[in-house]
Amino acid sequence: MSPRRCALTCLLAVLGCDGDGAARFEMGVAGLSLADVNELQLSVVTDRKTVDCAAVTEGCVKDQFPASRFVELTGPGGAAQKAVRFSPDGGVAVSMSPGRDFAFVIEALGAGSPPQLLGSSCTYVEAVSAGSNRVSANPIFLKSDAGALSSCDPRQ
Amino acid sequence: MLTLVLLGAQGASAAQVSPRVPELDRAQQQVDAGDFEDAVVTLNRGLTQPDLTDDQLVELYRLLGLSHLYLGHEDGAREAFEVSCRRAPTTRCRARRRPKVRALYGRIKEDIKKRRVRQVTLTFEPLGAVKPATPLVVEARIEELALGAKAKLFFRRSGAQAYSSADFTRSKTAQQTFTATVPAYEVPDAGRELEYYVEVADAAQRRLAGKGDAYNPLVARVAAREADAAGAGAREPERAWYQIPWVWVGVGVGVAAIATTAAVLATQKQGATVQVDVMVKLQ
Repeated sequence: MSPRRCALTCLLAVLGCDGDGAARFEMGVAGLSLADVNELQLSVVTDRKTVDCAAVTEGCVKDQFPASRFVELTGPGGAAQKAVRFSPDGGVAVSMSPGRDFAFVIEALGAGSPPQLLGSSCTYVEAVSAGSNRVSANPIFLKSDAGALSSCDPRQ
Repeated sequence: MLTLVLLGAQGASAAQVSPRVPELDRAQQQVDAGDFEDAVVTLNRGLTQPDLTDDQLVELYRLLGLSHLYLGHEDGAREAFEVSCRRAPTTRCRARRRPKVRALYGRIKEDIKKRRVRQVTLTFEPLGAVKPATPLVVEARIEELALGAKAKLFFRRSGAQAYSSADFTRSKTAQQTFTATVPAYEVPDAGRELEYYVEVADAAQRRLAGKGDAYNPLVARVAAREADAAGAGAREPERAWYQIPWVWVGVGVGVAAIATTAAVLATQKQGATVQVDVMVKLQ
C-alpha cells in the first residue's frame, strides 16, 4: 500500500467512527443489534427428551418437528395457535394444557418481509401444572458480528 | 170467641209461642160491644202487623167480615170472609149462629165450591240437604195467584233474629212454577241449618197462603262440603316418608346432579397459565 492510499483509509476509518457514519459502518459489516429484533415467538414442543436444544436453536423450530409436537397456546389475543408472538420488550403469558416434558423455544424475528430468524433459545421445562406457572427462559443471544441466524421464516 | 182465638194461636205455635196481637183482642171487645166502625179500624191496623200467623189472620179477617156485615158493607164483609175461608181449614169456615152471617157464609162456601172464588194454592216440597256456598234455588207451584199478590221465600241462618226474603218469580216455561234463589253468601256454613218459610201475600201484605211462618219455620240442614266429605271418606292412610314416591324422585334427581357435576369436573381440562420471561442479549 502506498503512503497516500494508507492515509485515505485511515481518514475513512476516522470518519466512520463519528455520528451517523458509525452506523453505516456497522451495517456495512452485517452485525446485529437489539433494535433489529422486531418480535419474539414462543413455541412449546412436547417430549423434551427427543429435543436437542443445541440443534433446535440452529434453525427455525417449525421446520424441525411435525405440527403435532407443538402444544396449543392461547396468547394475549385469545386465539389458540401453535406459536405466540410478542413484543421483545417484555415477557408473555400464555395458557396451555398442563403436562410434563416440554421444550420452550423462543425465536427472535427480524423486521424484514418475510422475517428472518435472528436468534433463538431453548429451555427444558419439566412440568407445567394447573394454575399459574412461571418459566425463566434461557436468553437469546444475537451475533453482533454476524447477520441473521437463518434465512428461514420462523412464523408458524 | 176470645178463647177460640187463643186456642187457635196456641195450635199454630206448638213449637214457638207467637206474640199476641193486641189489635185482635181490642177488636174482639169492640165487636162484642157493637162498636163495629172502631173494630174495622182496629182490625185493619192489626192486619198490617208483621209476622201474623195463619190463625191470627183467619180471626182478624173473620172479625173484619163480621164488622163490615153489621155496618151494611156486604162487599167488604164478603171479601173479608172469603179471605178468612180460603185460609182456614174447611171445618172452621162454618156457619155462625147469626142468621145474617150464616147466610153470607153459605153463599161464600157455595161460590168456593163452584170455583167462583178461587183459592190460592201453594205446593212446595220442603228442602232436603242444602249445598254449602252454592246459590239455593227453591221451586214452588202456585196456582190462582191473584193480581198484585206476591210469593216470597223468607229465610235466615238458624239462630239469627231477622229473616231475609227473596221473591218468587214465575218460570218462563211453566206458568204455575215459581222459583226463588237464596244467594250463596246467605247459605249457612256446612253443618248449620237454614230456617225458611214461604208466603203468598196480596198487595196489602195479607197472607193468602204459605208453608211455615216466622215462628214455625221449616228447617233445612246444610250438607258438608263435597271436598270435606270426600276427604273424610276416602282419606289415604298416612305413609312413611320413604313410601312417598316424590321423595325418591327428588333423591334421584339430586344424585344425578351430583354425578353429572363430578363427571364434568373429572373430565374438564384445567388450564395452566405460564408466564414466560426471556432476555435477548448481544453476543
